Amino acid sequence: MRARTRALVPILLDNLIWVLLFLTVVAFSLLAGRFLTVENLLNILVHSAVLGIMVIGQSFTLVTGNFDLSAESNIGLIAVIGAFLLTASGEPSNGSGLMLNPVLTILVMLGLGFLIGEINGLLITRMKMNNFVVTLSMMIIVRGLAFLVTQGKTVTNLPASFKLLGNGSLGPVPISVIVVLVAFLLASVLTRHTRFGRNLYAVGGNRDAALASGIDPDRRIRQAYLISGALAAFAAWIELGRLGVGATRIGEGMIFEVQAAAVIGGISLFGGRGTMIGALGGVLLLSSINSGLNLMRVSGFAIDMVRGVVILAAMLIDAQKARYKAPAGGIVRSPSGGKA
Amino acid sequence: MKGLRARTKTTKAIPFLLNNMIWFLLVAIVLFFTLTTRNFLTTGNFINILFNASVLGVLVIGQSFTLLTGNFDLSAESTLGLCGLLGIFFITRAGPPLYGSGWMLSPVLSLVIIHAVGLAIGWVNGVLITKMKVNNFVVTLAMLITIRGLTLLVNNGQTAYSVSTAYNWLGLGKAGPIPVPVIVFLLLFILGNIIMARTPFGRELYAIGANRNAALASGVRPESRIIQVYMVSGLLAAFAGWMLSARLTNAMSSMGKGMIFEVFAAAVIGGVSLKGGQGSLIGALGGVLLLTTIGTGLNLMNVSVYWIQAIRGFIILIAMIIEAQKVRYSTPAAVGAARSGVRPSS
Repeated sequence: MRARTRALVPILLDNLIWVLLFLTVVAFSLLAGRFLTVENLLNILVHSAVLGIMVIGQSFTLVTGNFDLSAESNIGLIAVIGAFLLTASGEPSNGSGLMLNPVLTILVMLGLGFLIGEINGLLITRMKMNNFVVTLSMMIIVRGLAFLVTQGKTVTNLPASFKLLGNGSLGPVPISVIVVLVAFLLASVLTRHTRFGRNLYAVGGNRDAALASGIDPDRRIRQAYLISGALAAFAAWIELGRLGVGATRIGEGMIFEVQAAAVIGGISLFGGRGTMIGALGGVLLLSSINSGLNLMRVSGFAIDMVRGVVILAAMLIDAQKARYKAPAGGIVRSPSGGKA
Repeated sequence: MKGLRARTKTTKAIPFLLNNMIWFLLVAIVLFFTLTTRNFLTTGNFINILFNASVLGVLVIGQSFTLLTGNFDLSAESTLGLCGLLGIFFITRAGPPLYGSGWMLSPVLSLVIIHAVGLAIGWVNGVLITKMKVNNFVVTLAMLITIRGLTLLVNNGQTAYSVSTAYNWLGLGKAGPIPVPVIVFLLLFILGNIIMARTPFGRELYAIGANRNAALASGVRPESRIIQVYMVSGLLAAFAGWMLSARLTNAMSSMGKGMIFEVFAAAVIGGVSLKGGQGSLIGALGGVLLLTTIGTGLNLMNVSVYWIQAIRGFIILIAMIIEAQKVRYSTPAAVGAARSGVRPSS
């Protein structure tokens, strides 16, 4: 009997996020009448879209053993600049008056995302700076720039064609849902089945060994930050469509949720471990909890606390993996600070 | 490195400059503001800077203790918020205009409770990290979210107001011309520095942060020390909560939100390593003063609030770029000495 349990436990722990998600969905289906409807499930996916894209970007850097705290400010600055370029000047639009073509605007936004990612990557690899410190500084600077662009004003009257990605639908399915699911699929293929992806894991798992086997860790880390920057731009595009306005506070405080989703989904903060599909599970779990608590009419004040407790519980269970698994996994790297 | 051998003089000067970089930067910033703003170099403004630095300073002391052991405490900003709100909540009347609990506890009892709450939060953090083996970043991140949620729940998001002069003393009291929080936070820095640099407890923290296994082998108990530093951090966060809510004479449920980034920036600019085992509280004090001086100076210059955040970010980044160059110029021996942190000069 004992032996059986032993065999079952690792399987459950390896797919822990899906077990938790299943239990959460079952619990809310029983507790809140309208939870298990197509409409609500689509709704959960819509609310997962922006978070999901951000989590993909963060997972790329986390796999190499690096944080990107600046992501939450990147989405804010890029969203505000995008909205600013698109719209008329003065009240009520508060734009630049350039009325730039949406396609051009999207290219500018992507370019900006790449630029911020490249600066992060260069500072970390060339100047040998700690990734936490670099992206923390960038987070503060970039948010400051977002306030500067519009002097804190909200930009409105975005063109409908630009908003399509965030608020349009294909038949009954919102476009943003399709986009985020495809993005997770692509990211999963890229990380699991290409040399580039395997190199990222190698760099995060053991940088010196990766270097010895002919991988250029610095180059891979820079590329991970480029991806994170570009995806922040992409997330900004979706968010602008969903909200319909460009506000300087877009994304503020979001980084905690992004990190929590990635880590609950099994992405290690030390690098080299976790999958994109797992991270998707983390995103869905957080969004389901949000939606379920809302449907149950739990006070908005209580939702934050419940979410914190759920994250903590998930992490507690996750940490117990180490006790049931062989040390080959190399997870027991002592609970010390973020890896440089 | 070959080119450097010829310039022995430069190579000697550079480590000295880099090791005391924070103070040179601070002097440079003070000079800059003195030249560009008329009212900067006055006693009143100097005290004002220290006053503005006090809450951040107290949080940085707590954070430095956990950072020394190689651990983060992200939850400190939420602990500050919860304890600051509870401190006022317990002692005030219910309903408008003060929005307290109506329990009317005595301020002393209320303060005892909130510091116990801070200690308890720290203990939970420490136990989860050491006994349950959960990553410290994750534990304190989850605590940050949980405690902020709890803070919203306590008063349903309503701001509580304090009319107790006894409670407000830590924020608004004065000893002669000097505000009480200034004296208290400087005393705490001195006390913290003595504990870190001159007691076995402090040396053990450096040892754990530098090499946990070596520390364990030499008879240090890393787990109990880590629980203790989290309790120190929780206690000081509660104290900072009292200080801030007493200064504002009210407590919003969002009090302290986002502050943790500034705490990290100050500690790291001041030379406290995120990897543990390196840095001193005196350096961290320099970091606190640098950030606060920049904020206060830019305010005096009438710089738009929209610029201040971006400029501060740039200065943090520049300080960190300079800091990172230490590694290139300091000899391994110098790194080792800085690591032990027991040099009388530091």
